[in-house]
Amino acid sequence: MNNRGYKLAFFLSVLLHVGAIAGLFIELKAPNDVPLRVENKPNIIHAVAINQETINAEIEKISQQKAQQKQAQLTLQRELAQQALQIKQQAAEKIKLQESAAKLQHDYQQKIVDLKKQQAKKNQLDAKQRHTVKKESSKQTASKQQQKDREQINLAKREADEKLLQEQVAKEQQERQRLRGEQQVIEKYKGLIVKAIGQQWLVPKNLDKSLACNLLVTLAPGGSVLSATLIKTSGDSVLDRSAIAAVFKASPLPVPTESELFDKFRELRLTVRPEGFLS
Amino acid sequence: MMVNQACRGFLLFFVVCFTGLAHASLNLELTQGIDAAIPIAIVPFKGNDTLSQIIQTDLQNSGHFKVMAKQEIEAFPASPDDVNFAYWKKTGVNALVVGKIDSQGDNYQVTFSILDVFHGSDPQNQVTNTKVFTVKKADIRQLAHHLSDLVYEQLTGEKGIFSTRIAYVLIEHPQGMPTKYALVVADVDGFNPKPLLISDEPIMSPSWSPDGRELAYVSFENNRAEIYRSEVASGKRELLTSYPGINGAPAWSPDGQKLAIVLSKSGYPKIYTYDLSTKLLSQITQGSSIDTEPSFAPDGNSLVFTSDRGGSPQIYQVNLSDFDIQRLTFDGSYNSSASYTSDGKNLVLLHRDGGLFNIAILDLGSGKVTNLTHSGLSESPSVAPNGKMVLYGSLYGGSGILGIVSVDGQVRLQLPSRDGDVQGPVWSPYA
Amino acid sequence: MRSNKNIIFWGLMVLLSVSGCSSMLGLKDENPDIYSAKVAARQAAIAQGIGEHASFAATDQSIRHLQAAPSDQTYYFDFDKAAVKKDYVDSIDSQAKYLLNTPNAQVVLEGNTDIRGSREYNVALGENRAERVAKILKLNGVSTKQIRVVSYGAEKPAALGTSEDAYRVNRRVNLKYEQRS
Repeated sequence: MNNRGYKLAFFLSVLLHVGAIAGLFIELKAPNDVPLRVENKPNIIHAVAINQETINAEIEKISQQKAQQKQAQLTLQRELAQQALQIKQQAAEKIKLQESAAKLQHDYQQKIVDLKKQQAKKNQLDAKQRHTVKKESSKQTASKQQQKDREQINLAKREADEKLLQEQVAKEQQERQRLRGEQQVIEKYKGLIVKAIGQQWLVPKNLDKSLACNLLVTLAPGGSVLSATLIKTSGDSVLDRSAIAAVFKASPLPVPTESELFDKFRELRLTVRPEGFLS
Repeated sequence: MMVNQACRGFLLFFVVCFTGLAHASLNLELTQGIDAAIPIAIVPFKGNDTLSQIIQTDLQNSGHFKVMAKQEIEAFPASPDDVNFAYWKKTGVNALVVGKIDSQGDNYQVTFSILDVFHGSDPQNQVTNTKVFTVKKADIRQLAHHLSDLVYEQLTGEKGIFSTRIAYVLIEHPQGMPTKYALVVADVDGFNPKPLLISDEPIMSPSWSPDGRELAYVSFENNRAEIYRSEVASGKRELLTSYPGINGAPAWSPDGQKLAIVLSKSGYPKIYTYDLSTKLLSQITQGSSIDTEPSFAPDGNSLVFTSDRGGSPQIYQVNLSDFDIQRLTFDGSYNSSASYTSDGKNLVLLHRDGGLFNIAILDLGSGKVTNLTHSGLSESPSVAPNGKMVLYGSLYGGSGILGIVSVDGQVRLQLPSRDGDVQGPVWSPYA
Repeated sequence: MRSNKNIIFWGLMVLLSVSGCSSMLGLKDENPDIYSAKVAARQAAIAQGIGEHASFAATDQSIRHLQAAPSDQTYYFDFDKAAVKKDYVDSIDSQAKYLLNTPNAQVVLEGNTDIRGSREYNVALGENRAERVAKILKLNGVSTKQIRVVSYGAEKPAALGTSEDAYRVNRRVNLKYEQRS
């Protein structure tokens, strides 16, 4: 009796191991379906006759299930045990249908091999030695991690963009303030220049006060007048010449010393229109 | 995100461009200057500096120029090519007059230039007015005055009066001899006086024709008041009126066709117009008052005159079409001898205030009377053709002298005195 | 204290002498009004000596005006007035009588004024004065043919200068016989 017990046990154990290994190979079979389809054995043909769409769908599901199986170790083991039993049954059936399904199986296995390769690759990418479940779960974690990383990268990118935007806004504000301060300096020097020229401008008497002439004045650094050209006559040459003389007489004109600011003063457009007297 | 960045980039680009454009030249506006005399230097002309002296005196006396003193001049260019602009800029003058004179027998050849000192390096701006004249030596003063006119006009835009003339009555009291009266024409600076008429009896109230070629005046040479006209150049004269009583105060109309005169043949001194071609008289004023001293408005449509119809001498205006009369002076108890400035906006007149007779200007718009002289001994104001200066008579040191004052009161000149008393001066029109 | 008093004293002395000098130098005074007034005063004095007409007997305002006729007369007037003074009426009447009796006699009445103011207005004023005298003659019956009126205004002054005396002698009508018979 003991020998028979051992043999049985031994045989069962081997079978279990083979079954487990086989189970590894054929885990792609929709495990959910299997218990349901115990009754619908003919439907397995559908399950076995795997088409492209189904494979794609299953690939997707693998990804999803890896996440699930992390938490359901025991469930899986149970299922595997169930599978072992079912595999036994199925193995028997398979042997029956082997020849008819040989090709398909081969294809199927080929796909399994491919997928296995993918998985192996994935395993290689994943964290180190754990249980099958752990491997799977670590794979899941890894891919989840990848997803997280991607998300984090995106987030970091977004944050970096935000920061850049803020920096740009701050920069522009600074620029605006600088320009405003600059504008005040410019206005101040404009006023000084007009006053300096005005103090040299001998207004011809009995002038038609509606007349005006335009001069283009160019300055060298330091304010020396390089040229004062009439670009629009007032119609009264005496008025025009009095304006030009005044510009030259007032040279050098007061200009900012800082070269960037002075650049704005290199060229002046002066409108001369007699309206009143300074003294 | 990408779009956002692109937008921002674009905006920045535009902003930079915009400021870049505005940065090309600043806009300024000058609306106030100063009312000051134009600084100028008259460099003694090479060859003879009489001309430059005359120009200097003319321009300085006008009040519009500050002429650099001759002794301060250190450079003596004779033509624009000789001019060292750097030196002249330092002197502070705005303009320069240079020239030279060559003697050619009975004539002078005169070359002269007016330059803007502050013309810049742009040759288009350089104003050089170089002219060459050939004149008889005797006319050199006249040329000098003409050059003064050219300088004045170029630099102020107004017509110069340096070539105008004056007429006046000269009274000499040679010792032990009877008084001599003369009607004299001279340059505006008093030089070159030439008698047009010499008489033993008074001459009064000369008046220039609008073309400056004739004088009308009152002469008592026949022991009565009579109005004559004389051609200045030839001396040719014609008796115009010799009515009983007063024949006085002839005033030429702006179109030269008639004279306004005073006749008392009706029993009282009244204003008449006398047509020079038809010799017809037209009575303008009526009544028993003294009406005298008519003077045409620049448009010839009305006259101002002196009348005591209100009790004391005041200025009235009469419209020549409807004879409507308006009183114009209300300030002071004695106003007389009025004439218009050329713009028709003011009257220059004789105004008494507290016993003092002074030349004054009445702003017809505001009614304000402003004294131009203050000695209290003034008479016979006559306005220059540019409306800016007034020639008048005054007593100075007991003698009758002539003075010139500008209508803004800033220029005061005295003409060189003569042997004798000078009175009743009148300023000619433009030559 | 004594030295202070000295300084004050001499200071005053200096001041007085200087002011004395400047009054002497008044001739150099820039103000033409003062100058001409002073010179005029001096001139009036001078003019008195070499007056063209007879001496200042003409200023004699005595009531006893010459009533002899024919005789040239000078009648004086108040400032800005043409009214003939009562004192002159007898004199004018005398001339009138003579003229009535001597039809060929001719008089000229020359109207004059002082030099102040407008010359042409003064001509009119002078005429006014002369006409007033003429009126009296005419009221006496003298014919206008024997009377000539001319006004010289301020153009023939009897005395030069700007003193009140000069003004007074200039405000006059000269009655002159151009023809006595």
